[in-house]
Amino acid sequence: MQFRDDADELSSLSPGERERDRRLELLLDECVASSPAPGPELTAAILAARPFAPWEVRKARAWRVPALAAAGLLAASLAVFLAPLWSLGPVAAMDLWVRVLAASASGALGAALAAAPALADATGRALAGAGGLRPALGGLLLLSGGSLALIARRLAKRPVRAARG
Amino acid sequence: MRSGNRPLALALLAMTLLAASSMARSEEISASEIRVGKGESRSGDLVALGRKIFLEGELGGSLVLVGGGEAIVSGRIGGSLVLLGASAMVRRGARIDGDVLSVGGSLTFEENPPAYSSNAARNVASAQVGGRVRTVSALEAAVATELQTSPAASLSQWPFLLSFRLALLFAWLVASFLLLALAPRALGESAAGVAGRSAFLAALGATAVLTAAFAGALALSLLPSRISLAAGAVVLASLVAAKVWGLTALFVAVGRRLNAGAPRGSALFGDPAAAALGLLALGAASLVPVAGPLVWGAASLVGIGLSLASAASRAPRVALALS
Repeated sequence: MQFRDDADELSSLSPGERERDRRLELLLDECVASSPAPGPELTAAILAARPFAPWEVRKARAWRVPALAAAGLLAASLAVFLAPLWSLGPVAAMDLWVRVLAASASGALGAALAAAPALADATGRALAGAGGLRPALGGLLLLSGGSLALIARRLAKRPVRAARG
Repeated sequence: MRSGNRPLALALLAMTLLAASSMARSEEISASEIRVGKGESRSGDLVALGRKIFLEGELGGSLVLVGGGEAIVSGRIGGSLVLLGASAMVRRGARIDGDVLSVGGSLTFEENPPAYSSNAARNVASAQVGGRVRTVSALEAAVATELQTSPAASLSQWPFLLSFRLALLFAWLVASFLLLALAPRALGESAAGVAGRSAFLAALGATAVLTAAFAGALALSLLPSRISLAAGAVVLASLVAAKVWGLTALFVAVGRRLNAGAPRGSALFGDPAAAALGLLALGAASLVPVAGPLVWGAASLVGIGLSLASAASRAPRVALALS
């Protein structure tokens, strides 16, 4: 990058160019003097038009609606489950909701973990028994894996985005 | 379609055709009702898709039923009985030498007339089953797999299923908030990558899931099951992580469309509100009968594709422009 000295610049101008430069400066001075300063409305409008910035997630105000949504979902889940069991009393029904939910979640995980070896063994035996399946699976794996690799390569080669400086 | 995507589309088409042809063997098996009569003996494993099987004789290997099939077993199974979304009735006098595994289907022992449950029938079944009896009930499967998103699909259990589904959506919301609080910038960038690319991302996600499934199946047919299981667990964990990240980004992307008109300062402004709105919109859609599981499944594929696309394009994308 080159920087030019103003004195050198001026000395190289002809008298006509100097006069044009002087008039331009006067005109600019007049423009600045006659233009009104940006009012608070403009500042407010610009501030209001800012998009959401990532750091704003630290503001508690940003989490009001999400907290409401989460509470609503939990309350709806409870209400749907408890409605037919309300005759048991609120405490017993709530206790049942917690127990059934926990048992279903942990039971599913436990059953999946317990069933996995038997399932893998049975599936492996069934697959090994089918004669032409291995080459077909190998071909399909090559094709799908190749497609994935191709896409990943294309995505990685996307043109860089220039930051404004 | 842009010419740049044509090779990918052709590859996907070829993959679908190959998958269809490789399934032809199984379809042959499932083309008719299968009966192994009394006194008959059949060696090897028997795999059937959505068909009825009457087993009165002896089967040397395992019986695997997938997708709505039904088996009436009154003979002997030398291997295991595996039901994946299928049902079976084990009659009095029948014998299964291996394990019994039922995932998301129903399993009934004639000697135990009421609806079968894994714990209650274990003792009764022990006389007929040489190995272990493992069942994952429809409710557990719904919680574990998220496949049964619509409670209306099972009218007898709908309050419980709806309650579980809402609780699961709550868990999704909490997970989304955690990710958003921990990595708001990266998640925002991922969410910005959804616009106009949802079909591509869904295809990418489907390709990744297919690749994982083919790799798992190939590993199961070639390697010892323990090694395959360990590798499968790693791949599954990666897919789950990709789904969680990608779905959260998708919630934010959908929510940004919904709260686009919200002015700064209003309660609906910002990415946390967008994540909540997006989850509520997709969650509500997932409850619709028939269409719900399709919507949630498609969203999951877009999510997985979005995570992969974000990871693949994580190479330095910002360059300082010299003036």
